[in-house]
Amino acid sequence: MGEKNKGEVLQGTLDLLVLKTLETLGPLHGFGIARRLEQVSGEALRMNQGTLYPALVRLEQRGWISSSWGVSKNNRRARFYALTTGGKKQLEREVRDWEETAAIIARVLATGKAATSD
Amino acid sequence: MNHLREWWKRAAGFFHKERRDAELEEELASHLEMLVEENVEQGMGPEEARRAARIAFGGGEQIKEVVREQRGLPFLESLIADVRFGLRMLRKNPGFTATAILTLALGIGANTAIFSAVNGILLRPLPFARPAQLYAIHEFVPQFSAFGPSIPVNGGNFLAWKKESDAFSSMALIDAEGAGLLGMGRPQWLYGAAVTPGFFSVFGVRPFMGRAFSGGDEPIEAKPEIILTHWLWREEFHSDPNILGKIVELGGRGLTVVGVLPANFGFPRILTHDPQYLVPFPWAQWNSKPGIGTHDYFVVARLREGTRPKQAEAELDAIESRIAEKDSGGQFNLYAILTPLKTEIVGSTRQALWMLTVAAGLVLLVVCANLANLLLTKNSTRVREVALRSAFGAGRWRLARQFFTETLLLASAGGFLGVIFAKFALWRSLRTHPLEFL
Repeated sequence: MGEKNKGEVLQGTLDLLVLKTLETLGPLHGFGIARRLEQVSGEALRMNQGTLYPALVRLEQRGWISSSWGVSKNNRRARFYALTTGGKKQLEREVRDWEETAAIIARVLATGKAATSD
Repeated sequence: MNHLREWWKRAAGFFHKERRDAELEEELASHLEMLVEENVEQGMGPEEARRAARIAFGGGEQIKEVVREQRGLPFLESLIADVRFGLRMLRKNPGFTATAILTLALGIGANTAIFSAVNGILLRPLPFARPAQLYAIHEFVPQFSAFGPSIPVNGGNFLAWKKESDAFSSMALIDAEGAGLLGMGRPQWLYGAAVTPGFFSVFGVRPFMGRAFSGGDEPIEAKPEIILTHWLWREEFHSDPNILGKIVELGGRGLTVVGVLPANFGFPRILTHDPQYLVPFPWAQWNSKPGIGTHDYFVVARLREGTRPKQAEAELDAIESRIAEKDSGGQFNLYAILTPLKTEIVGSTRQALWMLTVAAGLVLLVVCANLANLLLTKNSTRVREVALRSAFGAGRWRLARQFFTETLLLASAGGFLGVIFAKFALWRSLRTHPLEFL
């Protein structure tokens, strides 16, 4: 598993990660989201702003998050993003899909291992 | 579902670009500042903090570009940029642009005009009901072949066909005539046609005011009646609503107006002059006897449903041979020839029109070659521009699209102008040579 594969995984699940972050931490600005994702993944996901910001725009276009101008804890003006009700539902859906996919893959890998260990 | 919402939002994002760009600028700047703050908190000096933050953040312009792509309708936006740039380029070279557009307009205009004529005359069916059933009938006497491939019809033979053949649902005998119109201000010469009553069934037309000529197959003496064409009624009689029953002085006779033809009826172009009025066919002793000789008239007939033209021709030929036998005792042969009415009308023009089409097509080819030449010369001076854009990252398709767009602008302008030329040319020529089919 090289760097490239991690990037591809990220592309598909970035939406999920952002939505989850907003659910956990509440309304947050772009910097905060990027930081949180880097922290939680243990620096494995180095956030490229060129990926994050378009993703935020896309999520907002789809109605899963909403944005407004606010003030950060350092009294800096920043744009804050928050989860919408639609976004909450979408998050639940995506978590479910992800867990299902993971379960299927785990099963396939397990049987493979069992077969080869005979 | 949410994809739809995304595209809807993208369309909305097409507008207010400056405001959103400014907001994004501010948002990214704020992000950067927070990075700097974090670095300072972790112990870096202000200069170093900012530098490290910049590196970690990445290229601001690229980020903005990617966001812009997500936000609006990038394809449309770059297309509009291409068009704007193209227009600017064309404006900067007015001589070239004018030449290109003008030559295109001439080539396109010529083709449009000629094709309109070809379409109206050759391709469109005749403006009558079931036009494929309409035929012109001529006669042919091999011994008279010096007169041409066919001769007009003998009135008596026409009567014989009507009586003895079942192949046609209606037939009409037509003779051209002309006379002076008196009593309507200055005297005027009018062209007209004498027709048998079957005329109205053949063409499926009825006067919209009044009635058609009455009568059947008998060669009775013509009643003093007249039917006006719509044009004549409008021009000479000023659309008089009470015209029916009035007496018209034509050629020294007083004729009663019994009907006016509808505006959309165009007398088929089989006579030298398009008739402006119709009168009943003047039967007399000398032109109602079947035989060989006195071939003076036109016949138009509508083939009966289900009958094939060869069948009909064969039937008529049978009648003709009987007539020939009776009249000349086998000295002369007589045949009938069926020609589709459309061929009868346009036949002589067909070749000329197709030649014109080919000529116009060649002109267009020359125009295109000329334009290609002009463009090649013109664009060879833009090598630097292409190199620059390529260095900025424009792909080949993107570069090609710019040039396509410019050519498309030229072609649109040329085409638009060409259509105007064509309309003008057709209008002018139709004023002097009206064609009812166009």
